[in-house]
Amino acid sequence: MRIQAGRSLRTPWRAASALLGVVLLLAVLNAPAAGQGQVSIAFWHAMEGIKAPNLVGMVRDFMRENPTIKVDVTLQGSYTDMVRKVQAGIAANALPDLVMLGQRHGIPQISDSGRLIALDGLMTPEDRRDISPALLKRYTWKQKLMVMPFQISTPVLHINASRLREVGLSPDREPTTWDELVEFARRLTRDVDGDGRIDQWGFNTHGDVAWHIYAFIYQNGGDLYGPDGRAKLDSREVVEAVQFWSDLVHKHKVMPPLAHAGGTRLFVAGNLGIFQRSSAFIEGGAAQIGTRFDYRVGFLPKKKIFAVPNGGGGLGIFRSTPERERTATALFKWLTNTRGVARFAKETGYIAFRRSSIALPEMQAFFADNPRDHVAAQQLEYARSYPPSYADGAVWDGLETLLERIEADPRADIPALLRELNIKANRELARSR
Amino acid sequence: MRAAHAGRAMTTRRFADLVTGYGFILPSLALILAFTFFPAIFGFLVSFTSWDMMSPTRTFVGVSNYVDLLGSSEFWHSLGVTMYYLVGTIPITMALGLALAMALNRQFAGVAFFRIVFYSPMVTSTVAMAVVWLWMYDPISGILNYFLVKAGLPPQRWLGSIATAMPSLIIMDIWKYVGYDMVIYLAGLQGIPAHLYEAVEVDGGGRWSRFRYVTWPLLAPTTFFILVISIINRFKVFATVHTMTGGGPAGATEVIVFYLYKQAFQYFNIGYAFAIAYILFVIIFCMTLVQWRIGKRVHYQ
Repeated sequence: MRIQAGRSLRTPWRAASALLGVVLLLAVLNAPAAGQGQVSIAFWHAMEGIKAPNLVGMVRDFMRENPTIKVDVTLQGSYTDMVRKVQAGIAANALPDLVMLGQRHGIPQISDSGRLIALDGLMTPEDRRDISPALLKRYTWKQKLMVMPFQISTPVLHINASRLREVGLSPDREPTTWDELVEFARRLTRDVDGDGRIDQWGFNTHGDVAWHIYAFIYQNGGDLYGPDGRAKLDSREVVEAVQFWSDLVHKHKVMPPLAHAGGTRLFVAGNLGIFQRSSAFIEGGAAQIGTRFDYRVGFLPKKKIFAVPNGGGGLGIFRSTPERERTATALFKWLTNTRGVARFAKETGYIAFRRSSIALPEMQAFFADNPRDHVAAQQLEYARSYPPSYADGAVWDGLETLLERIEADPRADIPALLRELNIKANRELARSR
Repeated sequence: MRAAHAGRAMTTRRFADLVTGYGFILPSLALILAFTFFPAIFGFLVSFTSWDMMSPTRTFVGVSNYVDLLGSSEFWHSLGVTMYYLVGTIPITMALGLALAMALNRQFAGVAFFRIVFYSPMVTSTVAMAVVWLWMYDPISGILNYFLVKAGLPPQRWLGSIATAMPSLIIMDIWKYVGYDMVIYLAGLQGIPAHLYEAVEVDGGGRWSRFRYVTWPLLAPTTFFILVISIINRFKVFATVHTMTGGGPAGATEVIVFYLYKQAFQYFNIGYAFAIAYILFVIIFCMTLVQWRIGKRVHYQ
């Protein structure tokens, strides 16, 4: 009772302070207004690690050339983080002006939101001639170009040429067929200290295994989707490609099972002969390897044809006000024109995908000094792609799980697993339509 | 007249009290309404639609998300994986928590230090901690394999093998939560009156009798509380799976919340993901109801 009375005495003060709290909260929730005299735009990117400063440096130079424009450039994390933030941004109506998206990360769904501007109007006939149609296809949704290729990569073979030499192979020649790949990898797989355990492996891929099986599927003349857009993962070509993957682990024993996450470390330490990973790794790989061994880069081998999936992503422009859209377009053009693409490629190791960029003398000089980057650029000619699909997430995730299963189990029924996955992927398509 | 006046003053005061009270809870109430109740209701409605969270159109699909879900082998698989996780973590964590609590329920030099040490994983960021464990579990350069090899044991694949991925997550979980269970058990132990132990001693009972007839029965409400909280927490496990295994290898650690996350943010099936969330809610709700029913029988006075 006494406490009750005490509380009542201080009631006005308490009421006042509670109200003050509410007012302060509301004040915080009200965002401050933007500055005047300048156009401010936001650019969300996904260049993690050592590549981020290069992109930020380019944007800074753009601002120096355009003093009335202020670009707020922020790293949003991986492509996966980015698509989550875009999802939230659409719901909250808080999107940036320019966005960097991953090629397999929700382009159909983001396009369907109606927030991205179709880029066809920005593409000149020269642009169309300058960029491979196969590449543009990956970013074209419902007949409209929604994202412009920018940070482009393909898988390449990262080769420890010192090891090749050690086992009596020519360091100047990479394996050009699946059979040769097996042959090379067999010779490179060794138990050096004689303890009964393999210390040096012949072949491995990076952790994004689905992307690497795409390469095998294409090389075997297969495809992920049929002409009608439905998943076609139960075809003979796909079964053979997955069987080859299984054979690398179980029959030839040249690829360590379920060890893709450790592939980079194994390669950098010099204990992996041939490492299939994105060309975007070249710069970072070279920095980590230093002079430890002779690091070279080669084309992926062929079965029926030479083929690689394309990867990376590009830039999109979100709808806003006419002024901000104009500003975002200016930055977009500055980054993706001939010089922008060349500079970005030189600084980050992504592929110079414009023919005009490759033709620049500065780019040729760069290739002369950096033969590894040159290989990646040349291989782009063999890059295959497919139009974005609602089932991309299901196909990617499903193949990843499937490969883990076959690596764990030498007797896995590959055709049955692929049939099951194909049904699942097509169910995903049906659900989204 | 004076009485009536006093009465009115009381009402005014009571009204002022009311305003003050609600004024104080308003900020948190607003947050709870905006970030807990609204999403819960909104999510329930969305679970009857097909939506990717980005498209302006939401198609009403009735209960088909729920029908698909109950017929999906992946859903049942993820539920099974979650059960594995519950059964693997909860009994051992509770047993160790109790053992530690009993060991530290005494006065000796450094007792506070040990209590803090065992509790500290609880207040560490889960993701930061998961990254450290990732290093420890590394099959090539991890410290765990270093010790295994030193001890003449075969090195393990840890998170990289279907058989050991889940046990690896379980070991880490036990390490994280054992301190929490310990603290709750400590509180329980300190509530047990000393005269009961004296009674056992008078009757000639040893350590086991003390535990069997006093400690354990009197800790029943504490045990029950920890069990309820543990089941709810373990059902919601996500961050470690997301950071350490991504649900792999081959779905071996794909717990239900990770399955939900994948459906929402990789497959863009928000309606379906909300249906999973509601099924999860129903499961936890039912389990808690059953526990309360059993719980009524374990309260000693």
